[in-house]
Amino acid sequence: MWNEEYDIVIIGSGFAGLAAALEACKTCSSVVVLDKMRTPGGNSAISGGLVAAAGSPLQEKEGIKDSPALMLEDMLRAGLDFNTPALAKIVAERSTETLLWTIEELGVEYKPNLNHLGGHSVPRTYNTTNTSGSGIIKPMLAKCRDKGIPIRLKMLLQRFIADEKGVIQGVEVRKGYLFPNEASGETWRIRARKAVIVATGGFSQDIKFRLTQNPILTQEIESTNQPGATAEGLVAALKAGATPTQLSLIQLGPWASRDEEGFGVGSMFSMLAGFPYGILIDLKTGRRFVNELSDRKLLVDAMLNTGRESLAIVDSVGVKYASTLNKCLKRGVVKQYEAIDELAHANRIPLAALLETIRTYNENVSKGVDEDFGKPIPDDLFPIENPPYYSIRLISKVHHCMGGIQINSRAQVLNIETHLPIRRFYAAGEITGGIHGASRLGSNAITDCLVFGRIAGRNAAKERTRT
Amino acid sequence: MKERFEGKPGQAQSTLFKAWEQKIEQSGSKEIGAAELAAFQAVFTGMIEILHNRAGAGKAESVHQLMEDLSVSALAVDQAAVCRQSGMSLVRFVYLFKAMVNVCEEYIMDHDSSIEEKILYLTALHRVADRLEYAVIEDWHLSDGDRTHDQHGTEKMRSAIFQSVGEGILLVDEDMEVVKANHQASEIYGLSRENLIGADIQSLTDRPGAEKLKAFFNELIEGQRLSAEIAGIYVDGRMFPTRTTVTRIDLDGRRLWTIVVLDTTEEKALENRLRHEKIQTEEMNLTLKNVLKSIESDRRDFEKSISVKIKTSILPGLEKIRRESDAGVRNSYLGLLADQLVALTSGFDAGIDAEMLKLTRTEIEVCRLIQNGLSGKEISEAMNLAFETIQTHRKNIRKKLKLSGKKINLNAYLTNRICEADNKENNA
Ligand SMILES: Cc1cc2nc3c(=O)[nH]c(=O)nc-3n(C[C@H](O)[C@H](O)[C@H](O)COP(=O)(O)OP(=O)(O)OC[C@H]3O[C@@H](n4cnc5c(N)ncnc54)[C@H](O)[C@@H]3O)c2cc1C
Repeated sequence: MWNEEYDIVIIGSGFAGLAAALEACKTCSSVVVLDKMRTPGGNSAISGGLVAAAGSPLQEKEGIKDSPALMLEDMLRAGLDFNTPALAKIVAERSTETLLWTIEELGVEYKPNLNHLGGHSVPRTYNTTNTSGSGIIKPMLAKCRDKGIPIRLKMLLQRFIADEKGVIQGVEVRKGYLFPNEASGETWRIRARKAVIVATGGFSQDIKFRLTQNPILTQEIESTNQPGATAEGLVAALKAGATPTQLSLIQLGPWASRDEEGFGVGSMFSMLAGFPYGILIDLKTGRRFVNELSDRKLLVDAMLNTGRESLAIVDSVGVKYASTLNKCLKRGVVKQYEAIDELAHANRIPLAALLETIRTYNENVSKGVDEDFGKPIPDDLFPIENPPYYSIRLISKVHHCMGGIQINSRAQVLNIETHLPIRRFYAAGEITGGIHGASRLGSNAITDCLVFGRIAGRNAAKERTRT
Repeated sequence: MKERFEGKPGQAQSTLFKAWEQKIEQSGSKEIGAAELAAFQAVFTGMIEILHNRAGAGKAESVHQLMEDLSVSALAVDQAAVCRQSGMSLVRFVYLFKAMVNVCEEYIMDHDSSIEEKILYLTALHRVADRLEYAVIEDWHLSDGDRTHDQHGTEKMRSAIFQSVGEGILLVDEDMEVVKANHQASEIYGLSRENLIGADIQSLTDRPGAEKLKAFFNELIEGQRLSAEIAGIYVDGRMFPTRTTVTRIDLDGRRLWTIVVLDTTEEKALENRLRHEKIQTEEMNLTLKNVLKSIESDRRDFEKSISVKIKTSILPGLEKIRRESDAGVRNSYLGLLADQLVALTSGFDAGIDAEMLKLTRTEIEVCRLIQNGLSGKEISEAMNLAFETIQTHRKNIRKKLKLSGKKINLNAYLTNRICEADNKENNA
């Protein structure tokens, strides 16, 4: 029946899976992580490495007043109260503790400044020194190696195996799977003496599946995700009796570049500089149309609804926060201009309108109030007036799945019929639903994945070992 | 197709080509034409021959060496050009090529050399095959330029090949930044394409590796190729050995470098094992030599001790027997001598007996009577000697048997000695 067995079997080697593994291995010596891809890390490894934490040391240093309660409030507001408050609360409450865990236990290095991302009331976002989630994933993988936790690649989860009472016993995978060839690999069964943790992430790249949830998201709409961000892990969990929740809540990212594939290097340019320190304008009119620091949903809706082509502009002062600038320029994702008229001409923006837009915006900044769109104006925000100027052409791309399977506060997967936990079955990360509601705030996903990954790992390790 | 490498090379070649033709036939593909056969024979004969020569000599030399010997890319490109000119499509060429490689694989797997050797040959085969395939296809496209063809399809094919090669390929620009990478490179370093593209090539190796690469970048002139064994770093920090080959290409005034990386962990492990085995064998040889030496010296010691024993106890014993006229005494001496001779080779300590042989005839007689349980008085009567004389004899016997000053009863000692001698006989 079984080819192999471990105490704890974890599917997915992103933030959630690895956090679970590292936590579980503190009390359990037999842990394995499986992933279908040729490389570990999933979306986590290619993410921007932005991490939200309320009440963090940097906030204290910069004198920013924040609290888990305020973070929760932000989450619920952006999430339009679709969030499961109990779960969202856990993320907010454990955010700083978890951030410190990455620093103290993993040795993750962060930049010395905070970022203010859209939808957050205050700057509360850390960013890894290398502006990438790999700055967290690499130390996590190194730690796994250190602890002797095997990360086994090219293992595609096909189904969860349960006994007659529905208790999860193990998994059936395809060993030697070569993404995306369905026929590759051989059937292999791995038993879990304690529990199975599913952490297979979101399904932004699964065009067929996302179309079942939202008919707008056709294949014409690109995604920021890695190609393996597909739904079969989620579907396997549903077949094992998991409860689906809010699957149609799929987030598009407003900051990605039109001129490169996926998330690329442009997205971080917009997030770190273009939106907070610059303006977002409609190419046709040359006018602003939204608060650049709105949460993603509002931004995307504003960008999509009118079919606008949008451009973000920042000057040489604001651009210093863009740590990916050189790469952006090199790849032609961001263009540099010596004067506004040059920028307007190259992008076919009506010059007079653009100049007027910038003049009004600068006035607002000087006044300290954005009378037009209500963008918060912090002390380090200055008028756009110092050449050279930089611009990035934007397009919305499918980015994050807020929906997924339902878990309780112990990260147990809940059964769709009984609403009780499916025994020996845990989930964490983007595969779960309900935490972020209608719109996930930037930098909250990493916190969520790490918080619930650790909870899942700890509780799975506490399960009685089957003989 | 069970074969040994020792067979005549020509014979194996024809078997292989036959298997190849069969394979193509079975697949329902167009039969292999004479021109195709000739072209492939030209390319593969060398390879097969090398496999033969190496294995025939019974030494699984390092794969590296094998590779160096196989600089047949130019030949392959030439032959492919012939095929192309005769109207063959690239798809057909690659198909035939893959089939042939497949046949060679089966040949290696089926043949009865050790699994280690098989691995060596397979690795070698794949290295050569990948390189040939890449060279041929590059050339095919270059020469294809002036013909009308489906540009998209070709591009697809090129990318498919780029992805399917067994080695990691990275294209690096003047900032030492990776601008293109294949799946294999991703797999080798544990970094997805998204992470690999834009990465600093120096972050994929250690300090000396980075220095080496920098030196290569500076030294290389266009089209030249250099390779080195440098460390690679996996995403989790694990270091692994690689063989890295760097080539410079100049494109539209830009300098680019292709870096071909082969993870040699397995190869190295194999090499280490072989080396280890060699050391073990050498150690074993040394031990054996020492054992033989010590056996020899034991033998010499043994001979020496025997000759000493013969000189000190057996020859004097014989002399006594020669001079003795009394049959009883002579018998006693003979018995003792027989024991001594047995003890010479049986390894038993014959010390006591050797002492016994030093006794005089009278003393032996006295011993015999003591052994028979006679008292001093009885002995003096039996031998017709004064009691004092018997006591003197007793004292002398004790002295010769090295019993003086010891609390050992002579009767018990002598009886014991007899018992021992009896036991010896019984055991023999
Ligand atoms: C480009 C990008 C940038 C982002 N930037 C940020 C940011 O800066 N801050 C932030 O908070 N959030 C960010 N996010 C969101 C965040 O990174 C993700 O939500 C998070 O990484 C998800 O982690 P996870 O562990 O749940 O899943 P993942 O990291 O996606 O890992 C899931 C793993 O499971 C594997 N898998 C899937 N299906 C199977 C199967 N059937 N069998 C076996 N294995 C399977 C996948 O291959 C993958 O490796 C970003 C997302 C993207 C795409």
